[in-house]
Amino acid sequence: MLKTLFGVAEYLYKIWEKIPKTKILNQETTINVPESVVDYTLMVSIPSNFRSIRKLIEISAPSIVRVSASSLHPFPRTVREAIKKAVYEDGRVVYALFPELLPPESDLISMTVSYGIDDISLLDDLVDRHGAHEPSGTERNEYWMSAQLKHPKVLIDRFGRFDLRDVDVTVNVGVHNELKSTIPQPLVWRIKEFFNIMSQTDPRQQFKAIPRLRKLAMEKTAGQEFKVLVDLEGLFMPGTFSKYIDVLKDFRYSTCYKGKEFFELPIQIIPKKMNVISRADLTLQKPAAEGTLIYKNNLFIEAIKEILSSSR
Amino acid sequence: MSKNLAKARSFIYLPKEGLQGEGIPSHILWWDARAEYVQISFRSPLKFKEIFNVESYEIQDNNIEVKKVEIEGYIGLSFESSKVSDLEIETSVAYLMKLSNGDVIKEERKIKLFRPQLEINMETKEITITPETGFLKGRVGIKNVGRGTLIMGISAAEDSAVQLQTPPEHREFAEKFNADLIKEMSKLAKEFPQFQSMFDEMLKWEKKDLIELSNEERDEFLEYSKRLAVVLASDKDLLQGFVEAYAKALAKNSEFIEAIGKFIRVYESLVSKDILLINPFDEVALTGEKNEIILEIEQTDRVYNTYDDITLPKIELASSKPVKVPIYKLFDWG
Repeated sequence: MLKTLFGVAEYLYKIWEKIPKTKILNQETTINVPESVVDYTLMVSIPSNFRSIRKLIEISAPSIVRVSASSLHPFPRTVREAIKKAVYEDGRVVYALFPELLPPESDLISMTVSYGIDDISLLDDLVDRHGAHEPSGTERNEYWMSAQLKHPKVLIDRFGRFDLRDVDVTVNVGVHNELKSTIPQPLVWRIKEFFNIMSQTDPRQQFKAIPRLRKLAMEKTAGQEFKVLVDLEGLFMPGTFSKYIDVLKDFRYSTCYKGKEFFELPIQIIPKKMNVISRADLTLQKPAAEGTLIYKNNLFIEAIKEILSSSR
Repeated sequence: MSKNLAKARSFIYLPKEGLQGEGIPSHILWWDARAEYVQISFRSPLKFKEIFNVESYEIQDNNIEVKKVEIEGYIGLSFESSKVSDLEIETSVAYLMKLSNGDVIKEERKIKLFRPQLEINMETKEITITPETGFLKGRVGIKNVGRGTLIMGISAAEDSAVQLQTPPEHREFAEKFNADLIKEMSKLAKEFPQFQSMFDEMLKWEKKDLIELSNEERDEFLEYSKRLAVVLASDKDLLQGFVEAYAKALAKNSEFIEAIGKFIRVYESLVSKDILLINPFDEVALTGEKNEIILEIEQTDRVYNTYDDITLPKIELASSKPVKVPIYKLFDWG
């Protein structure tokens, strides 16, 4: 189950484990959830004749995206030149560490391999995630969120220190009540009337509709309806809607997109809900995170009202 | 054991409120001491689902006794809740911990579990429609007296003399849009292999009546929705592609005027605070004579709990002329 997660890390560990006179002192892992990339670092002490006893250390796996090395002692610095990437004739990509290119005085090095995980759903094997389906709190505008590690011991045993970065929880923020209570019925009637007239395809019906159209055109707000719709739609752009979201405690806001109810066509100009993604980090020191997403519905109502009043 | 040790810090998390039927997480964190004894007691309608970072534990009735934690400082818990007859019920979880420095942590956390509930009020069994003005007299009163969103659909019973119809332009649009959307999604699945399995499942769910799922299917669908959100959140480009697929399918199908139609559709489905109507555009065609209709209401909530269907007594619809009435207009939405 966790094989794809541990695979390359264990492979690297085993390579170093077999190299005589070297000793693995520490391991550190960062799982970057949004990018689905694991950064696995090994710290290894090396003997002074390491450069001469070993010509190169090769690693190759299709999921590897990057390999880097650093000398940690006595002078910490990255040693980019010691790692070379080669493509074999059969297309295999190989990364190689050349010990002779390490600083001569170095006795402690680190090697970091970054590799992709195909199946991000394996995060569910590591983390138990929940987000409230309905708002709570005194103003009924708060959604709770939680992310908890399922098996921290497995991670520590395999990975040493680890850091699960940007674990996501998606909450569906219902916006239908604000729309219902704020958009005035007459505006909808007028839009509907336009819709009915404009969608007539029968020329006789079109002709019959002319007086109704003229009546609508005489009204003071005529022509403003579509602008209102376009402006309302603008409220649901991620950059704008995020102004009405606060994420507190261990989580932080990441992004949002228009949600769709299971029963409806997903193309509404105006959605009934927004899917908001928030993220938190989990570590051994912080194996569980909790947070609150506050939907500032009163400010959102103000914004709708402002759009409506600008059309008057 | 020295009593002079510093007092250990601890933190307990349990949400204060939740929708009946949703999963409820909880965790305990502690610092500066080892756990020597941990007991967690919970009450119905909470049910134990999982415990994390525990090497051994025993569960008896509603008590979990932790024999050994794996790594000091943390225990995670996941409860299930279930729908009950009360619209709102308060329950609690009690945490008892004895730590190596002699500290005893004893706390009880309360959680209120709520759900929506439809209330129907029929004063008369006759609804009169004035075709010229569209005015209706004798509408059926309906409102959500619970808490949380209620999702409902209205249909006519099989043995009802009058049946409902979906205006053909809406049906055609929906069908064509869906076909185009599936085309766009299949392109997306080719581009992002991690989306392929989600796409396969999407096709499966498209064909189902989601308000009439079995309990098993309901869990499966919740799982699917959760996974879809996770897969989308995992890749910015995929999320962008997903949003664009909808936009493209829309662009292929819609003149601006149709988009306006969709706005109206949304607006009209917002029949009342905390009720979403699935089929706001279905209508009933009256002949100008007295017509009898038997209406059925199917309902669910945000976690797809099962609610009984409601069959209303026979209603007589009276209109002096043939007229089409959108079904939602037969109700007074509180």
